[in-house]
Amino acid sequence: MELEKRGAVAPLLVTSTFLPLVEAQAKARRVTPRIVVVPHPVGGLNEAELAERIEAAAGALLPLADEARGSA
Amino acid sequence: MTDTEVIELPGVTEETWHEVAWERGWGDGLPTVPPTPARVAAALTALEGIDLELGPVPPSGLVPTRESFAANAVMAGCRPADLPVVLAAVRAMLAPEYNLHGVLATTHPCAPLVVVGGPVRTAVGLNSGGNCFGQGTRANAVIGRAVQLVTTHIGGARPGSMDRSTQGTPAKYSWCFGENEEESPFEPFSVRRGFAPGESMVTVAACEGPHNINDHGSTTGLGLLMTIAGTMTDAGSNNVYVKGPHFLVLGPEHAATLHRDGWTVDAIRDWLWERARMPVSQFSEENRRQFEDWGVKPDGDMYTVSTGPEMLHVLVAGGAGKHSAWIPSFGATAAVSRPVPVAR
Amino acid sequence: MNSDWDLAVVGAGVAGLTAARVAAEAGLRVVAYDRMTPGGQLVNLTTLHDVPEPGEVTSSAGLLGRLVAEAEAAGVTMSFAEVTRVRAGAAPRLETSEGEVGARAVVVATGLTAGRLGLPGEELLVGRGISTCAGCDGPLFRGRAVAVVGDDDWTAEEALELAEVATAVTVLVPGQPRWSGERVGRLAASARVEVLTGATVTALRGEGVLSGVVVATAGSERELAVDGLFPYVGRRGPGALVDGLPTDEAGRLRTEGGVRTAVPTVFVAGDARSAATGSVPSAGADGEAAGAAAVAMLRPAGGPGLRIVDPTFGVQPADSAAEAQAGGTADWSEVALFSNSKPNATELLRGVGERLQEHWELPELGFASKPNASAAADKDVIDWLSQRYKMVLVAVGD
Repeated sequence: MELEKRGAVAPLLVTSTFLPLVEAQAKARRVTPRIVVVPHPVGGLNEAELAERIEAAAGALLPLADEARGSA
Repeated sequence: MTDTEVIELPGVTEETWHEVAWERGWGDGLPTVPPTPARVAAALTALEGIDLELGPVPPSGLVPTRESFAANAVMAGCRPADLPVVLAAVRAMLAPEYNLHGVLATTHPCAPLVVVGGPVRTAVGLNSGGNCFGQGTRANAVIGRAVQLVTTHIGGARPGSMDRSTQGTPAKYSWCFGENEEESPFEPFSVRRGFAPGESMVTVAACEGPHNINDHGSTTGLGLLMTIAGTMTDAGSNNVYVKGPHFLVLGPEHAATLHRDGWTVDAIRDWLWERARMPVSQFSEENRRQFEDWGVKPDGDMYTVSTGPEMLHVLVAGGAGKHSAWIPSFGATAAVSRPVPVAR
Repeated sequence: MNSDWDLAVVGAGVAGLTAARVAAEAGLRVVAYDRMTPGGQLVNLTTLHDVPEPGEVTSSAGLLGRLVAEAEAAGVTMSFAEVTRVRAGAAPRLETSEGEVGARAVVVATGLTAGRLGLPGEELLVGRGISTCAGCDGPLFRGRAVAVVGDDDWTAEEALELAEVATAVTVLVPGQPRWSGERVGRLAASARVEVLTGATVTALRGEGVLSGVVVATAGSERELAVDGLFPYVGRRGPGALVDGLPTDEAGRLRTEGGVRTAVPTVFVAGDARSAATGSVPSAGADGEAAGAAAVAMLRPAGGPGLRIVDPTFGVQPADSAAEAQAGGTADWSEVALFSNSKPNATELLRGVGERLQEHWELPELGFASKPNASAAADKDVIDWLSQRYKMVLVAVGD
């Protein structure tokens, strides 16, 4: 969120359990973060499980990134 | 007091307050004292002439006002005299090196450990003797609790949303005690932290609850240190790979034995730094790789506890008996000391 | 956290939203339940006549938006659980689709059930010709004939709305109409509307979909071919929902003057109340009265209750706005990854980053990581990233 304040576009890959924390921080800082939610946990996954997470996260991120680039 | 700070609770009485507070997400589960404007004003008399000097409390980033700060102390059950101690502890927690944001958001079970030194201990009736980590002394209970309530309420670090601890620790209810300076054979902890004799101070760090060190058998300082080292070599402790501060709280009897055998605080620290180590073979390969990613390398074929002898803080507390305690920390925190402010 | 409330409002239409807002403004913790979206009958209307003042016209969606926004601003919690039972008593309990909750007071503002004629085969034709929402289903009957059954202002308003799309609208009034003189005029002015008084629907026609109705008028019976039927009779109040309160013949809750019921903790507002007039302004007035009555009941005569200092109060730090700085000069080819160093975070970032790299055909990706997952990010690293890169993908959590 610090990054966005300083002008960089900073999408956050947030694991689901940390989502409320990120949202509350955003509220306190009065910023609207760009969030891609990844099912918790990420640590402890094997390769195939991780690949699945990457696939899902990329699916959400690419349109978000396109939109950010398009509107800039 | 501005209007926004006072909440009207229609139909609520002192009898029904606990239910109401609980429903609103206030408190820690135990009953709290309703922070009425009169009680808050009374509590604030103890801070006359003292600026709070508090910055934003993470994760909300809000800065407490005098009234909201005092409201938390009142809710915890503090008497006015307790407030300067609570204030010193909260100031210390807000020091960047304490890393309150990380402390609150972590899954690690750390609580604000509040160690008090100097004459304020007796002034507020803080227990530094028998059962000092436990229940039964008002000052210990309410000061530690008030510190936790400030982060819960003003920081908004409620369990489940902001407080992400996997299991938490009972120490999160309250975790405050005094050094037993009277029975310590060593220079007071507060003096070693840079305070003048007779000056009161608070030291905080984000710590786990105490790990007991039972040694009824050893009759020498060296024997005791072997047992202490054994307790400190804990493969699942954050101090192995996140490093950071940790505490050795000697019971007065263990402390006396060490002192009798010529062990100074520095000698204790050095010996434990060298001897409280864990063989690499005790750790899984995956875990070792993880340590390496963090830049943590074993010293030879042994992992050390933290980064050096100076990271171990040694003090004396407790009463009769052959027990001491090792208190590991979150790692990404620091032992931060602040003087207890004196009202004018 | 316990899920109990000071006030539970059942039904978030005009009356319910107003009652909830009034109570929340007085400092009560209020939940407003609506099993669908908030709005009640407003959802079924497009334009409101005589709102806010006689002779004026208001958009239904605009009014609804304002009521919801005001309720939420006052601190009302909206819930979409379905309330299946209200047990009235000294400590009311509500059974909901999400479990049982307690409230110190309840405002019942459910309105009425949809209109029904009580004829054989009727339920099978609901949604297949029978509807009670002209605003929602009217367009389905464009260029076709429909009938409307009822005698009140609501019936008249729905008939007028249908007349904008249907070729013919027959309004079947069981006795004599009760609608306002203004609506008499508007109905008469519409060439597509015909009003039959003393008319009763005695049978429904149609296999699978409605094709007509049988209408009995004084001494005669005739077939009326219609594709749509909008009954606004036989609407029931929430008597079956609420235990322990007297109801009228239509299942509406009887009150003891105004919005108070025989049970001091339960109030009724809007169309659910026996003798309600069924207009938007009267529902709003009921809501105001019920909200105020609930506040008065919960604030005993002995005193205003407890005043406390808000333990969660804080102020924004003075310098928070000053921190923002202008971004760097990087363009969209400059993208970096920033890992929190938790296990697998870097792998996840790299995986997602590679997909973006492919997608945008980027020559390379920058990379930075926190030295330690538990510490706040280093200011210098943040400075460097924000100056050097246009976009930084960040990993949070574990």
